[in-house]
Amino acid sequence: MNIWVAYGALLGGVLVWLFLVRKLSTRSWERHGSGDQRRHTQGDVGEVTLPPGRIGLWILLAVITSLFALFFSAYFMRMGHGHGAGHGITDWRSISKPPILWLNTAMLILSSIAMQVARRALNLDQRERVSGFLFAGGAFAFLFLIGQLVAWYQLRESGYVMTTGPAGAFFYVLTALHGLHLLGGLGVWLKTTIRMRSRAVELIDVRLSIELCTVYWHFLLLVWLAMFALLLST
Amino acid sequence: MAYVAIADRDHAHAGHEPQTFLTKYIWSQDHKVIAIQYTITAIAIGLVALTLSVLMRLQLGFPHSFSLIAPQNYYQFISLHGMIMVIYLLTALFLGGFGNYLIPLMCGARDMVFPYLNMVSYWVYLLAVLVLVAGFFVPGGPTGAGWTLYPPQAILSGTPGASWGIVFMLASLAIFIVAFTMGGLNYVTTVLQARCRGMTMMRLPLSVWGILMATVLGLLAFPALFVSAVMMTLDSLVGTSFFMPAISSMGQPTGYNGGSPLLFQHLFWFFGHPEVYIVALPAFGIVSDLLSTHARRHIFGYRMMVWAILAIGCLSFVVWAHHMYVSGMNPYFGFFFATTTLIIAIPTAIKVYNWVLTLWRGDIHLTVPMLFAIGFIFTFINGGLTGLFLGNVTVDVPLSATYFVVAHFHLVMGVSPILVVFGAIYHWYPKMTGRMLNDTLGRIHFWMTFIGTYAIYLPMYYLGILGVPRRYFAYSDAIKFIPPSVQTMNEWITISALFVAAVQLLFLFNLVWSFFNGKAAGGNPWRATTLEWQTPQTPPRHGNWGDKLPVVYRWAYDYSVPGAKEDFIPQNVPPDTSTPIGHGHSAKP
Repeated sequence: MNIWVAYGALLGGVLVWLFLVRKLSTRSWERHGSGDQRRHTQGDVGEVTLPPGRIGLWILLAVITSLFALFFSAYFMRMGHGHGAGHGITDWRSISKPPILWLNTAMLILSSIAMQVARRALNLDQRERVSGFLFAGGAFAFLFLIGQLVAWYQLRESGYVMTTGPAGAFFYVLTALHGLHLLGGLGVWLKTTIRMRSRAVELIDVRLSIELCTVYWHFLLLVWLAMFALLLST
Repeated sequence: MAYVAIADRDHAHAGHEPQTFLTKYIWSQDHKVIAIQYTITAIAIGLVALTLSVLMRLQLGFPHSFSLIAPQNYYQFISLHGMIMVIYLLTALFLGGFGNYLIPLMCGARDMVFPYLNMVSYWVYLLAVLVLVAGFFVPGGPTGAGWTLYPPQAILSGTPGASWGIVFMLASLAIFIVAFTMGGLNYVTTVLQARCRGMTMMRLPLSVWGILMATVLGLLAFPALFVSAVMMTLDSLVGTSFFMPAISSMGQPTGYNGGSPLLFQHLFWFFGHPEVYIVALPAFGIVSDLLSTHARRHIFGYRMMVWAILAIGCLSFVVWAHHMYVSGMNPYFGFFFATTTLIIAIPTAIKVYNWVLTLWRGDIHLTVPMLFAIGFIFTFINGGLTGLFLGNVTVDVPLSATYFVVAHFHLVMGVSPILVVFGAIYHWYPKMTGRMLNDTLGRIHFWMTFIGTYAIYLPMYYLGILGVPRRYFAYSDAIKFIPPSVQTMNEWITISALFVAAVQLLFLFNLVWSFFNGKAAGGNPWRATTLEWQTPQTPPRHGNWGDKLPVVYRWAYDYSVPGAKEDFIPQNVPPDTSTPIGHGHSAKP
């Protein structure tokens, strides 16, 4: 494996170490915020400002980061660019990227923006706005997924299937994996959207779900941008 | 000071005890029930792995005497034995079993923070086990590629289970990783967010520290296995060439081209080495608590022990390629990884010294858990020191793929953690069931297991130094450098292995017999300080703590404190003249 990956892992270890040093002195039972903050997290953790759901999401994002980082690392090694792997692998042939990927990227960016606007509207207690932008966020994400399927179709039509070469195989695998993660997010989004439709449900009841969905959306956008840059540059 | 601990967020939690058999014992969201479900499932599948090892030893000790063991079966037994023991038994038992049981109780929480996810985690784990077992019944049987599943042979037709067996294995692993991730999210979040008042991180018992760090390692390392499983499944089913080079099989071209088997090895061991510590760190933590409790002495160098756990965890990510010195990788890599391997020995050695210093001048009670804990120290030192040989490139090369390696890793990450598992079960069984395990049976179990495992593995070091290669179905007379005495040694090892395997039945009998007939344990039979022994009921009821969560005033190791009336002071006892704070730890809750 590329020696830089090894050093990167070492650096990651140091960062984790520093994080833990900070964490060692905290007293989770003593975190109690302002009245507003408390209300916002009601139903999850009482008076504590940092809900377990949020901590859980960040841990999940660390796991997903590890997953994609390892895939990217495998991608580079399979290309044969890694110094440690230098075995003269020469069968790597770049694929022509379907132009629709640009449109898809725009969809995902719009999706993220819509989620962010919904999140901000939450703070202003604007229910209709939250509802509308939340729906838009999911709809754009859905369009992104449809676009990815079209990209697969176009790639297949141009002669690249999974077995044509490693570049094509990685393209299918990485986009599928990213799409599956987004699909999982859409599951939570759907549940939240349905809850929002009920008048009996207060904004505060879905606040955490919307906030976590937004963070997850931004994260998946970052993963996609990194992946898209990788695919375009190789 | 106003506060509401996360664990107490649903104050009615304790009152909503599930009533039906299904919600109480099957679809339970109670961490204690889930822990026992994990434990029973892990032990059950572990017995399958034990049986496979017996079959392997029968072949090696008495070659060609058993017609049911064909060469391909032997390789299938090897592969499944290794995979089950490492992943489905040890990882699941330490984290799913002990992690689930101990974390909320030791942290003073009512349950895990995501109980529903916790329940799903167990059922997905069970699904992974079932898929694994289903692999035995598919055409061609389970994979025989070795537990490392190296390509290209793992999916080539000459290898047993290369068509369906490997796919079931990979699918089972992927499902296991999903289950582990759900469980892991719970363990980490609960430790970080659900500790009761006064339970600072630096007052946590070392068991929790070990389980926490092992979970973090698992969460970051298992994705590497997931990535390799996905890519190899595609190589096998779809015909991609991620790992498969251009190669002929049985004289026929395979259609693969350009893949990198070395890439798989890197990914596998990027998971594989942290996996060693995923198994070892909980054992380190638990054994620290066993030693301290049964030696009636505070753990020596608590802070150093915590930092050593963290250091080992971080370093475990930069030593993986010491498993690959003979793979043909860049020699500079060997230098780098040999160095990091030696560095990781430092925090490990610190822990060993601290265990020994905890015993020094302690009031040692040779209870059954203590016997297993001391047995662990011996075994871990034996296994660990031989790791220094294998961690150095020039010594490793001649010893690579010999029985020396088999002895090393079995002692260091097989027998050592299993001794801790036994010790822990003898220690916490009274809390789980309200009854003591039979002491005499326990002592017989310990001595027979301890002596028996040395009768198995010490000779293997000798075989390894002779150069006897591992993974051979039989040793033909044509291999001239292997003297006939090796066969005699193999017979001895096999008889010892059969003996040790039989002794485990005694342990199982003890578990069942004592459940009905064991002596009543009371709430705190070991006179221990940690919170799980301070629950209002034994076994603890749903919600663990009754109406009020405990408040912690001291660390977990106030044993034999000068001036105290008794030789232990529980963590939730406020300080006064008869219960002073030991070792300068703050009394602030």
